Amino acid sequence: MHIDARLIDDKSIIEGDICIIGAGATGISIALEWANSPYKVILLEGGGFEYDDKVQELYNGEITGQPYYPMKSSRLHYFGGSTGHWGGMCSNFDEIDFEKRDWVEHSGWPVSLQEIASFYPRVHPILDLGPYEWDLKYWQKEKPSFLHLPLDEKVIWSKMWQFSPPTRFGTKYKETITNAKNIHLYTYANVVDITATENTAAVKEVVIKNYAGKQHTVKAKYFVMACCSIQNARLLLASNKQAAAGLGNQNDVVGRYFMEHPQLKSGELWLKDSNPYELYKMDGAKPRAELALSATKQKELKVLNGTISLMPLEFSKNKISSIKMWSNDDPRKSLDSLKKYYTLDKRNFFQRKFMSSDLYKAYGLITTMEQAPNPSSRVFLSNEKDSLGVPRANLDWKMLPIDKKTVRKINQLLGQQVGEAGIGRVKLADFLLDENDDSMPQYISGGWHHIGTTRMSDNPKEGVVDINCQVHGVNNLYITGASCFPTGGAVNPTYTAVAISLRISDYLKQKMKGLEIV
Amino acid sequence: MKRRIFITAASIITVGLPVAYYIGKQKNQTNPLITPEFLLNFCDEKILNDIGAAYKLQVPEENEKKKLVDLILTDNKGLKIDASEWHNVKEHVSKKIHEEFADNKTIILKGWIITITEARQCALFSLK
Repeated sequence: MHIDARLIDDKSIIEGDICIIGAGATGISIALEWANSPYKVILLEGGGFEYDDKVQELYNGEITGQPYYPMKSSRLHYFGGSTGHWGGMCSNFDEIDFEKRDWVEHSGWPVSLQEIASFYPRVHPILDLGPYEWDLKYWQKEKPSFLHLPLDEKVIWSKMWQFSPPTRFGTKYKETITNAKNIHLYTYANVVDITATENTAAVKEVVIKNYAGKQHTVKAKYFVMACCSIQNARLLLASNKQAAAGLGNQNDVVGRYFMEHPQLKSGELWLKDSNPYELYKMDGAKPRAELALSATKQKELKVLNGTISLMPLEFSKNKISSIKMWSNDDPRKSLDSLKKYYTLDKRNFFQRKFMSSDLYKAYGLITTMEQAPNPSSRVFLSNEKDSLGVPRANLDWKMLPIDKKTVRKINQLLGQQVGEAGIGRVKLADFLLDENDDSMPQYISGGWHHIGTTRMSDNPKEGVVDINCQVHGVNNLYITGASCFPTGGAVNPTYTAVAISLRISDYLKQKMKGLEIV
Repeated sequence: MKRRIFITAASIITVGLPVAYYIGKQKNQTNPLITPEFLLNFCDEKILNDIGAAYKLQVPEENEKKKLVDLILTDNKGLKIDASEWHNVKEHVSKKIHEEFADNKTIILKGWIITITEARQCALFSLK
């Protein structure tokens, strides 16, 4: 059922078994798991069912590090969350992403990939993905035109991607959520404080507010934060009445290790013979592959994970960094600007296709990579408050030398590989030429992927949540989403974030049953 | 007599010079020592010259034709190949480049990831 928190009596007390804060991909995925169960689920959404600029404004904040997309427009603040404008790209993490790598400080997940991957098959119907198949050979059998570059797979391999339509959670799941009798969806319910017990061992209640001037209280056995990396950290830090440094922040880890997937034009691939390579072609719908650095080479070169995508050079050479296109505070205008650019470029692309027989002889290389976990790359509270009285977030996105080294090495290896295969040559982008320069260019983009800030670790001094995503020391507070990732891999986070949400959901169901038995 | 000499000379100039020029040009184009054949698939003369110049700057001790030729003609075991037949040279260079890529004996010049032999070919090309 749906309740507009602006319309109920002021100072209402709302009670349930589980309270999910945030109705984006991860929050809704959990709620769906509990639909029609005997438990009362409170699902809190700060916005309504449609875009509301006044609500969106609550996401505004400051940027002090590497230039980034405007804080206000990099996430959507209404039912369905950022699935309202996501691209739908999905792929699975690699085993090495979960490993403790001695050359990557702060790396290593406290759970294995197998543990998380066991939830991947359940993610496919939620995100409307194709079969749970990530093996290149499977897709080549399905599509014989999927020829791969003849490179040594032990060095550079073709990693598969699938595309969600993309599923707009706000549209697809609105009916299911609002029709489920046990799910109480409250819109215009912005959580402004998580109130802990005096000893901070548990959450007592959360306080919600809205522009109608109403304030309510929500009480539940369990609370799950599903507000995305920046807002999860912001809310914990701002909830400082019982814990001065912020809830769960006794070790000063909340907000730290903010990561993205740095993305940038890194060079050109020139082929001896023109080849359209359907496998690597990006059309936003069919499965495709990117060139990925093998785990063996990552270990040998002491670099991070990363992939390279190919785009006809005629198309990529005019490609503007997405960080420049997505510069408007209003996410609708930024999206329009992005769409306009791609429509325009697509038209030029097709024009060129008929004009040039060599279109597929030269490709632009676009590297997307894992970012090293870095405690100095962080979200912290600004001195300014939003109109509901919550301090705004300040994002200080920072890179490390290993990040630059990774972009350089993966592209150098590709150059060596295509040379050895005798199919072409690689020309590196200028910013990679000086081996002593470990700074990243200013125009570097990200994938709008907010990762880290409440990372998972067995050790409370190194992480905010434990292996079950429970906030260390706060026994009924859980966090879901990419904010729990200790490292971000080189693939888009939504697929794995939803898998983690399902895992938390199963865990809490077991806990709930246990509680009832007791 | 003078007229005959003039006609003969004129004929030699009009026909002979372009032919000589053409032959010379052909020779240069196909000389595998100074022609990084693979790079020609996507690099024009200016780029080859730029790469060659960059190599000479980076390795000044090789800024000499004979030295470059010797280095190109020497295989990875240190043996000098018979350069009397161009097809031998071509085959040798091609094999050497492949081996250098496999052994990661590459160099980055003007952004291009090429092998040392290709770089030397470009250097020779720029000296021609």
